[in-house]
Amino acid sequence: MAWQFTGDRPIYIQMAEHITSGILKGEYQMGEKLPSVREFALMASVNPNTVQRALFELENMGLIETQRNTGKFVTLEESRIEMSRNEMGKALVADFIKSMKALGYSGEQIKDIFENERKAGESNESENA
Amino acid sequence: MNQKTLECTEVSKNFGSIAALHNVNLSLPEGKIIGLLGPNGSGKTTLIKLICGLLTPCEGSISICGHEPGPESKAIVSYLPERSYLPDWMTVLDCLDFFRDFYEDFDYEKAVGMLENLKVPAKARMKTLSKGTKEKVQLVLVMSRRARLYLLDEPIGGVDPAARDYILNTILRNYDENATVLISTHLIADIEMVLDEFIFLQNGQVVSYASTDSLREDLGKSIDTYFREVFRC
Amino acid sequence: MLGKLIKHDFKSLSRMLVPMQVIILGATIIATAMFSFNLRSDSGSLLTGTGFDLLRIISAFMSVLMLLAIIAASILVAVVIFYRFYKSFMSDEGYLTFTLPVKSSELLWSKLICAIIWSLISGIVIFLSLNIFILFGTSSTSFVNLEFYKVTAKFISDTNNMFGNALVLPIIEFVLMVFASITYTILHIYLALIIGGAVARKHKLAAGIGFYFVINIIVGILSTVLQFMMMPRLAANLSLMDGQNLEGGQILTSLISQMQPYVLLSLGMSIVFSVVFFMASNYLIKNKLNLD
Repeated sequence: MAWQFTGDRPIYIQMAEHITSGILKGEYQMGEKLPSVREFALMASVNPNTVQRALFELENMGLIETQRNTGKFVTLEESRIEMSRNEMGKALVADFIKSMKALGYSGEQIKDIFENERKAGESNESENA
Repeated sequence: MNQKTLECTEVSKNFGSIAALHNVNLSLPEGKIIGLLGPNGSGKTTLIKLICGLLTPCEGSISICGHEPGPESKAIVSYLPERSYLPDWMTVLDCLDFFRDFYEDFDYEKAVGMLENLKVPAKARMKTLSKGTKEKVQLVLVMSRRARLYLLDEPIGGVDPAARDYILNTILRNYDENATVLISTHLIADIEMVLDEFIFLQNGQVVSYASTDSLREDLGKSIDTYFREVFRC
Repeated sequence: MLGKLIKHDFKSLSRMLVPMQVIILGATIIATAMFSFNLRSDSGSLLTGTGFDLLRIISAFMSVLMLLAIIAASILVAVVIFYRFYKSFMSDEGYLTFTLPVKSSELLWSKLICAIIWSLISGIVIFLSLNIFILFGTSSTSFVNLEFYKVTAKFISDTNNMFGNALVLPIIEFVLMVFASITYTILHIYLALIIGGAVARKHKLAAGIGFYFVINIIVGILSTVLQFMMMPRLAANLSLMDGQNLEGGQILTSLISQMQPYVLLSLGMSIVFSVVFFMASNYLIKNKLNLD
């Protein structure tokens, strides 16, 4: 199944984000070997050069490392992964706040609605469990 | 010097009084998947036929890895026409033998493996196969060559989404990393994810030639959206 | 690469032509059997009776039918050769043919060589079937009939005694003429089909047939002109011969030598036209290819 991409931004950036969230979710464990460029390309149905570029970005961020001749691995430095998690989390919240403000909510209201929904979500989860 | 895979210099082609291509200049590097995009009748097929030597340009010159269209260029160009071109009395295996005899870069074992995966009966005659199966056989033959330049004319025209995914994956899986793939289509949304670069043709002229990423970075648009804007009726 | 082209062209022709040769030989054997049956019942050496009259009519009818089948099959050989050429160069198959890493001249050579070989094979098969018929189908008394061969052998030895070496040259010339005219005819039709394919958008085959006659007329005019230029000389030579007192073998020997310029001229024309046809065909498929 091909991965979904949007039309407004370069595919290699979306590809890099996709792999990053895979690392954050633990789909790719610390120190684990990543699929090859061609494997990624086939998984996502994208051009191998795009994958190459995405992996290059991730390497610059320090999330993955190249080991000579054997391929690319997820970093063993937890701090790097935490940094990425923070960045992604911040970006998501910033997006969220921006959207809420656009709908006319004030900062206080956003906080309230957030708290309510969080509690409701938790009770739902415990019911289901 | 970094030799280009394909070089077209001021290429023009007329059919009688109709200009099919006018003053086309292109210089394509190696190792890229490039879309040849444009509406019907924009000259896509004519350009591909000129490159593979089925037509001779009226003006200008074409060079494939330094060779003019001829026996040397045909040996390194793998061409998928938009029609069935295999003799219908041949069996699938006959076709494989034919390709092995004429193309030194043909990987026989690879073709056999791909056909087995597709469950194409190797001993069946071409005329007994359905249109879709014939197209698959042709794609297998063309992608089993280790060519320098692949010319794929409308490989995904008129196939269902599952077949389309299969075709794109076959191309991705099998093209050589130093080779360049030129794919012509008017179905841009379907293939834009696999393209490094794209060429827009309109009325026989190159409207733009750019990289997919740079288009998105500069304009924040997909090729498909851009295409619809450029060719809005 | 030429070898591989010939291999595949030959294979694609053989697929249809081998069965045809088998049909020709098979039909010959049946016709021969019918004919000899007829001969024997005529001569009364076989059973007679009213029931056999019907059988005789049927067998006579059958033998004529077989003869027609043989003629039809040999015409079909030519049709198949040119149909394969047309398919391979003018139809969708052209997309395969003309993207092969070979020179256009090699494509033509392969098609020409295969066509010549198959013309010869089909000639030999017809020769064989004639002989089968003469040997086994022409005698009412014995199983084989060697009369014809005895007469032929005697004729050959007589002429050989009479003229000796004088016949060597004409025979060589005859063989060359056969080859040249086969080649000429094939290339003539190839060129016509290629022009038809290059010029017409639709009905390429019909256009090809039209151009066959156009080429025919052009060649006819040219060769008539050339022959007229040669004729007075030939006539003069022949009248010169009249005045001399020649006998028997000498007349023929002299005639052969007088005819030399004429024979060489027509041989030369076949060769020159063949070369011109080949070069024109090659130019057209190289530069004016017009696939749909």
